Amino acid sequence: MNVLVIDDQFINRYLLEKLLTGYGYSVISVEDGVEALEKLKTEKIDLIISDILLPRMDGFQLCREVKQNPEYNKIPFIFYTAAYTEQKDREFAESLGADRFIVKPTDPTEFITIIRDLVQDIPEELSGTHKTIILGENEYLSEHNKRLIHQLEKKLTELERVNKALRMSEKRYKDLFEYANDAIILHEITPTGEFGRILEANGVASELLGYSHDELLLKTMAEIDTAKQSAHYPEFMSSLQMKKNLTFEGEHLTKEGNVIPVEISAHLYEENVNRFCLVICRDITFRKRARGELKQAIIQIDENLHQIATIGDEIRNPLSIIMSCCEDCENCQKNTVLDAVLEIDSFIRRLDLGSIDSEKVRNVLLRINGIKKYRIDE
Amino acid sequence: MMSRKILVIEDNEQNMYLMHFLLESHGYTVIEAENGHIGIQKAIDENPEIILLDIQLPEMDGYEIAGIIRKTPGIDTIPIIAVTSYAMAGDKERILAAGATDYIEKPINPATFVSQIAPHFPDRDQS
Repeated sequence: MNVLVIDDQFINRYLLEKLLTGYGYSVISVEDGVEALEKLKTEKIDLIISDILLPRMDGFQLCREVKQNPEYNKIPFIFYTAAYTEQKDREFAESLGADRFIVKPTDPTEFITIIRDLVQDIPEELSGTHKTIILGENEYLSEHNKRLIHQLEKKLTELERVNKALRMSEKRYKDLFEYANDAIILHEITPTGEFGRILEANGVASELLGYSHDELLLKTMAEIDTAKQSAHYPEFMSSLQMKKNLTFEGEHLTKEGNVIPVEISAHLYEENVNRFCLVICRDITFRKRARGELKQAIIQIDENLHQIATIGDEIRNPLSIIMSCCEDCENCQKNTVLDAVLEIDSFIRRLDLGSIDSEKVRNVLLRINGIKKYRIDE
Repeated sequence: MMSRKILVIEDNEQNMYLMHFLLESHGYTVIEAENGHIGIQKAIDENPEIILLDIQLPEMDGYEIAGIIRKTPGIDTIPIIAVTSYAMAGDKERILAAGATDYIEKPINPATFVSQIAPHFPDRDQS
């Protein structure tokens, strides 16, 4: 038993072929009405299953051709459609002589049952002619056009809706890109693994580097990186190839020639054979400056600590002398002098305690900022 | 019998005078050094039994001097007693880690100074 399947979508043809051959039918599939008529001429066909929306000759036209042709009009004709689903479509199909009208998707078992019922009927009864109202040419054309236009409108509305959703989602991504707080640059990786041209950059990148958007798209990465940074490209590339991601502190060069310290996060990705790198750069000028100022402050604390220790030491040295002089002296003021010495020492002791606290503060600052080296000579 | 030798490394003249006076009056021989370079050289030349080391010194400080003495063969086992102000005494561990045997806090108390040093002589029975 030969089934002729007409559908312009490969996947639909494939599914039907699998289903039908699985139940012992042999299947011939074609992509449109014109091809179907060709096949009818050369092959013995026992059943036709056709989609409606087809290129060149659609399902309605094909059905009319088949049912008006005395040679073929006994072949059961099934419409199998996802697009024409309204009652008017069904009625029009029936008026053309279609035997069944099935809406996609249909459960495979149910689908097979419908086919079996149809082909088991006595051929004379299933010509469909009992339902067929042979329409006049004008009537047919007018109704066919109505169905087509209606379908087209539905498709256009659907297309408009999808387009709108697409535009919305595109705008969302664009906003994400434009309104990020960091500069975002997309650049190519040449086939030889070099950092190449800039393909896209956001407004923050333009602002950071001092180039207009169009100017940036004419640059390569080497032109916005300092020579010191571009010297490391081979290392960056091998890290990227290994881990896909790379984060480091680097430098960019602005149009005016200023060097900007940045924190760079790079991500490598591939599309077919092309490779790209998405770079997110955060300006850390302020962070660097703050860190420099912090180091200066800590150096100052050290200097003060040293001064306090030196002064304490220098005052205590003569105190030792005074104490030793009192030791050998029988003067009645001896104890008064010794008390004064101890009082002075207690003042220095207070300074010492202050130093110890300052030292703790310094150590905390070093620790929470992760600073290990801060002296000029280190 | 030869009197016991103590090397004093101290930059403050008055303090040096005081320590010298106190130690000599107890019968010790005092060798003076006003900075680390001279001190290390004199330690090698004179082989003192104890080294008194001020921590607050210009250029090379007491920590550094103690470290060098501990690494110099021939003088590496001589007891070092650090003399330090209180804030520095807060760094007791640092002083001991640098190689000092013990420390004395400033201001020096003339009444107890010598008795703080005495226990550190390598072998008391031979005095």
